Amino acid sequence: MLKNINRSNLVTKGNENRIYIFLVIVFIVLAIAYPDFFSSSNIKALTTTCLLPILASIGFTYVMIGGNFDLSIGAVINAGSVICMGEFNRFFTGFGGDSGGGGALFGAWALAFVCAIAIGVGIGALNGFLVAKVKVHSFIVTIGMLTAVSGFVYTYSKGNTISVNSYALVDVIDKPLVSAPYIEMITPRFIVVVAIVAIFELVLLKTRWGYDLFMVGSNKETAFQAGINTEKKVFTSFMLSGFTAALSGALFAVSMNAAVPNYGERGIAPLMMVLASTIIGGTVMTGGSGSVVKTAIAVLTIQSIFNGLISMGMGFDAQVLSAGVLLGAVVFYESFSLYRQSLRKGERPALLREAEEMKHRLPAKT
Amino acid sequence: MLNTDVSAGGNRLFDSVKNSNFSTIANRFGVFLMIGALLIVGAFASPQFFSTSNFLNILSAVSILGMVAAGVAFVIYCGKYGDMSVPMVMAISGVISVEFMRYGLVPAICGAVVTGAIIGCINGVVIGKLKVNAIIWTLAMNFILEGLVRWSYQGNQIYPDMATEDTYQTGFLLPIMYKLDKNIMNIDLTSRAADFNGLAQTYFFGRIPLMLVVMICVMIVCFFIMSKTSFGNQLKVVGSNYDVGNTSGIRATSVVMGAFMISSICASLAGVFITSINKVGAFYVGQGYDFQAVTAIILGGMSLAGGRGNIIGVFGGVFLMGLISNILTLFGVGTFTQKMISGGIFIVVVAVNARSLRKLGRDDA
Repeated sequence: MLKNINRSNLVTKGNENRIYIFLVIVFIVLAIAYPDFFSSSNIKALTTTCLLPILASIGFTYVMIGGNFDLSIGAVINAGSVICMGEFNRFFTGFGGDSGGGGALFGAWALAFVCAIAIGVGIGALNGFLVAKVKVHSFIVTIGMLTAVSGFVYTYSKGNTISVNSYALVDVIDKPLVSAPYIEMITPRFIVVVAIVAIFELVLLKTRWGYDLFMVGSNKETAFQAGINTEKKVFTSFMLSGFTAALSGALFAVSMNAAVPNYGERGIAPLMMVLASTIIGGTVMTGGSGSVVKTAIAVLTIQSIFNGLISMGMGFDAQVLSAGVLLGAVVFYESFSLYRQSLRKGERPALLREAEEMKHRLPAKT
Repeated sequence: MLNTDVSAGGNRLFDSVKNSNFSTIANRFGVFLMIGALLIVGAFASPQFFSTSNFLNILSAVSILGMVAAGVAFVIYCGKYGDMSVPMVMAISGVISVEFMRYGLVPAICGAVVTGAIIGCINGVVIGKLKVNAIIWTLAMNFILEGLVRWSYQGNQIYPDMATEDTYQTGFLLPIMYKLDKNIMNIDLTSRAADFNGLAQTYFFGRIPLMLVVMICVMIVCFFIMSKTSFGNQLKVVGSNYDVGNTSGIRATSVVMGAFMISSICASLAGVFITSINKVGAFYVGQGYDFQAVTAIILGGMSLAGGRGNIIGVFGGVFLMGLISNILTLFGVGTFTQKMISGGIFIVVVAVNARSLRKLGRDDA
């Protein structure tokens, strides 16, 4: 029995950090199968594709740690990208277009980003209000919001792709700081994403606010009794989710120089990517535990698997299947271990150990 | 669920006595009041609104939704919030029915329904036994099924009346069927495909579509299962309070499993018809039906907390959805804006529903 307990501790430790183990395994397998996997250009491509889901999953992780779900992020990403592009075009023409010079460009981009982020935060605030104050279940609220927002995005863009004619910003944010091999993926966009990940992780681990969020997620009642304003915590986490989703959409649209109202509808849905990586990254589905960095590592792992599948000559379809199976397996594993735990509830290891020893001392039955 | 909202003040108790009458009526008959109001609005929208053909149009437009909603209602009734795997169950049953259609119509429909039952069984075991969050698991299931359908067809669509040598190499069950019986290539696809596509174009008395009749039949069967059988009663107990159901001798696991199986079977039936309408089997045919079904059910007065509501209300909710879309179209509102409006209506209705339940002293959170 004692041996059992020791092993279960090790298993728990391993399970907490499973994503690092998983990443190393995936890297080793891919490095053996594809020598080109660790080439400079492939690493750059891999990192670039990770940026959108990593940024969007930060807020999602926050909401999940608080014990809720935000299924509307796919629509919010689209809203962020479409509004950023559309408003830029409007402001740029308003400021006099090309004749306005650098000032017009800068002003238009700044206002476009402000608009996109404001929409994201607004949607998040509405979600948060309905969940925290009106006390509707977060799934239901955000599924409704998903439909309403995607309808809004289609209406805004009239179902078309919105593109811009200015390449000024994309030249800045996607230009490598040092164009040397293996560090050429460090672009301003990369730095922004890494900085946001670092800030959000530090807030989670080192501040009072972060501790409180963990407490709200693990036990709302206790948190309330301990004097935490639970409603406000939930509300803020939804607002942050809207913020990161809209910002990721806007940055993605800028780097593509165009925005579509249905990004991911025929390919890999961002919601699927974010949901899978957050759960695989070890955030507990019922809340109260999780980490932004581990989620980001999970995104990197899944994208590496996708990268390997592409090298094998497989399309989107195999990627969707692999991500789905991975998500299903992890959800199943998590719930199965919870089920086992619930069966063991009330078991007393010390007593069992004593009984075991007693059995050895007693003469065997004949 | 128990009332866990500690922040709710004591005054609510007295408020609830005052408001209980209005809230009860709004909860129970809200959907029919809304239908009445919309009928009056519709009368102003167009002179053709009150005609038999328009009402038949409304009903046949929502008949697919009706089949799906009747099934998902069981999941919500047993307190599991919703079945997100509905779109892909529809898609995969459509694909299976197209593959089985070469043996005739009955095998096609049977194949689809069996597929639905198997998926529902898996969902039910995992959710009922392991108590996974239903939405997360069904979403994961949705992604897995999407991957399966897309991967097996390499992202292509499958047409009932077209099959080449390649089709038999990449399909879902087709390669196995081809291996077992090489004669499958010689089946006359054109007439079989005409039969299959004709499913959606079959009319009784020249104007009542088959889909509508099937939808009404599904609704009636579901009504009897939910309100008149012991399974329905057990479902109600489990939906109201899982632990009470479990300790009072109900096999809660199998009851939850039954609910998910009914949901998937209804969705697969809807999948056959929607594939027949589109004349193509593809992974995207059922998109959006999960959300629309939940909207219709909530509009119909079924509580998200489980254990309250009935199929008559769900039918009302489905009809209301058709009515809203019909009137908006008569007013010249575009599809995209309609989507936005339906999302907005959903959020408002859910919020009002939650508030009124809280006023009645039953917490929905």
